[in-house]
Amino acid sequence: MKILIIEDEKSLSDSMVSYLSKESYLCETAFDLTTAKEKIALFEYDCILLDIMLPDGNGLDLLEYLKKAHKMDGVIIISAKNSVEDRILSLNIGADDYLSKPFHLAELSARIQAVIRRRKLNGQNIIHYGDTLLDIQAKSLSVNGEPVELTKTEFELYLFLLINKGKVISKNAIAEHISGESALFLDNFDVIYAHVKNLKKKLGDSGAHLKTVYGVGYKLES
Amino acid sequence: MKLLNYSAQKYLIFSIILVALSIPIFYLVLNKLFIHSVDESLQQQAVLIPEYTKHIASEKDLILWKNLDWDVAISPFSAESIIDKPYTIEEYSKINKEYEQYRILQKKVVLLNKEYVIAFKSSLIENDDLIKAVLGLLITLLILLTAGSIYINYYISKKLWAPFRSILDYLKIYDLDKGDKEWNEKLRISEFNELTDSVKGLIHRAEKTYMAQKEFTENASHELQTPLAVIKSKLELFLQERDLSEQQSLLIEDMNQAISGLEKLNINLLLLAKMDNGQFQLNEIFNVSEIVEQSVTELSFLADPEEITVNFKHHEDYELAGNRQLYSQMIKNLLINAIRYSDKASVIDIVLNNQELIFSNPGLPIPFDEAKLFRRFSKPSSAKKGNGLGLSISKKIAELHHQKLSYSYLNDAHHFRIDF
Repeated sequence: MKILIIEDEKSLSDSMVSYLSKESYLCETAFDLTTAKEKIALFEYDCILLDIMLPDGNGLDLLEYLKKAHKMDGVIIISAKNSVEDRILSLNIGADDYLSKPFHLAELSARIQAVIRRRKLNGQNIIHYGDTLLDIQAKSLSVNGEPVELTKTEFELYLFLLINKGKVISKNAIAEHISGESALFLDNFDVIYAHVKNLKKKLGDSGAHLKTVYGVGYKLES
Repeated sequence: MKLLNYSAQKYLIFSIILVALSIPIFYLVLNKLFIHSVDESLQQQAVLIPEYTKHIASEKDLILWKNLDWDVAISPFSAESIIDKPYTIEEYSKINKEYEQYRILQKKVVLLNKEYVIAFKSSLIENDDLIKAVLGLLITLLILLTAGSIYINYYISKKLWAPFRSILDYLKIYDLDKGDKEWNEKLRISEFNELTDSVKGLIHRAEKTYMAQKEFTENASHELQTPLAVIKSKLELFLQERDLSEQQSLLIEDMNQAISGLEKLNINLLLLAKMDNGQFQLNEIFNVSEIVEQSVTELSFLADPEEITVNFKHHEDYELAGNRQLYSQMIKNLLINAIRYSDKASVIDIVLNNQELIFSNPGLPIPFDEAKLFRRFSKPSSAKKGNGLGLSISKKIAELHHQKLSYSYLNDAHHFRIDF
């Protein structure tokens, strides 16, 4: 899987590369629109991460360009502007998703997976992990072949952990992923603990691989 | 007091004083002039005394003269009764049947070897009539003049101040937010042109400052997001390091918490600034019950672990024109609040009808001033939850939708109420 990261803040770009590379993505970077256009003309990407404010222009212009060139690979807009208008505008032009800064790398990874899954018709909609089998389309879980009822929160939580398998996910990242926009008014993430505990029980033997990391976060062992 | 009335009033006062003073002065001056002329004619008569007296040859002639000329009185001379200068007396006139004023001039004459006093008399009745006529004319003239000048002044002032009025009207409807169209009228009076130029300059500067401030708040908030994103991502990478000790992990967690707080503060401040600047479109039509139901579902992850039940009752629905996203943020915020301040396994009631939406949850009274509840950055010092912006944002969102958010504590329960 090839990803192009168009982000002028080198330090942030480095973080993304370093996190995503561990998930067996092949990452390339561009720090301005010109380089980005050159790379897009030369290579095919499965997903493009596009910052809106770039030194030599607006990222949305590149989005328009991609649309005209019929190169609309999965595009995720990354913007420092958390504005509804921008979000609607970019989705209308044809972006697949919109993520506002600052974001958790785990969240970014989950969004990329979702975009790639949606883009590829033959995409994998079922994730195996240990004895468990998660059907993303049907939103159902079976453990050892037996169907297990999951709440919406537990399903989102498990999927999030599976996508970021082998990484330590902070409580904060989980809470923001689950609560969406409500996270803005949330200040305490202890509630995550209860959901993780319930999920762990439902996962049966595989639940043992869901580890608590010093009260900082959780990790699903790979 | 209006400018026009002010100047008209000053004119009126001046005119009244002028008229009031001029009437007696006119009267005195006219009277004096008239008496002077009467006196002169009396003197003239006195000069002619020798002409008259040379015809008088006997006592009989004297009596005849006395009886023929009513304006002459002849009496024997006595030193104490003679008056040198002309003087005025009042006498009953048998013809007009009223008292009339007469002017008298006495002269000493020797007639038939005897000393006499001849008094010439002239009636002042014409004098009175003349003065009355002249005064009447004068007063009419004066009143007409005053009324005319007041009217003209009023009319001219009105015309003169018309541009001032239009500048005022322009300023009254001027909205800094909308950056109204510029004032381009050219005026005939240079002072007013100067005024409009100064006003334009002032508006221009205010607009510039306002725009700069607006831009600054937005830019500052946006610019902060990028470094925050860098720190956040680095901390996340740091967390992936193998061989992290518990202490190190907890340090990262503390930093994460602080960053997260800062991030929310930043977003909330930006939201408040944008609301203050009126940068939100308020023309979507949406269903309040739909939003409440959505929020209840979305926040079940928060309520479920605490076994909190949310009861939403609505018999009537309510449709609203506004900003759906903002409104839903307010509802979620109120619901999060209710969940946060509820005990385990309690029940939160939400009631909607076409007048109000009420969130109520049982709990202990709040430990601080209710008036401060909706103020920015105010929160109970004991509570570590939140940044103190949530409720003030909610109140602002309600206001944007022309609704009122209020709090009350009744029957051991907190009530947040939105009046439509």
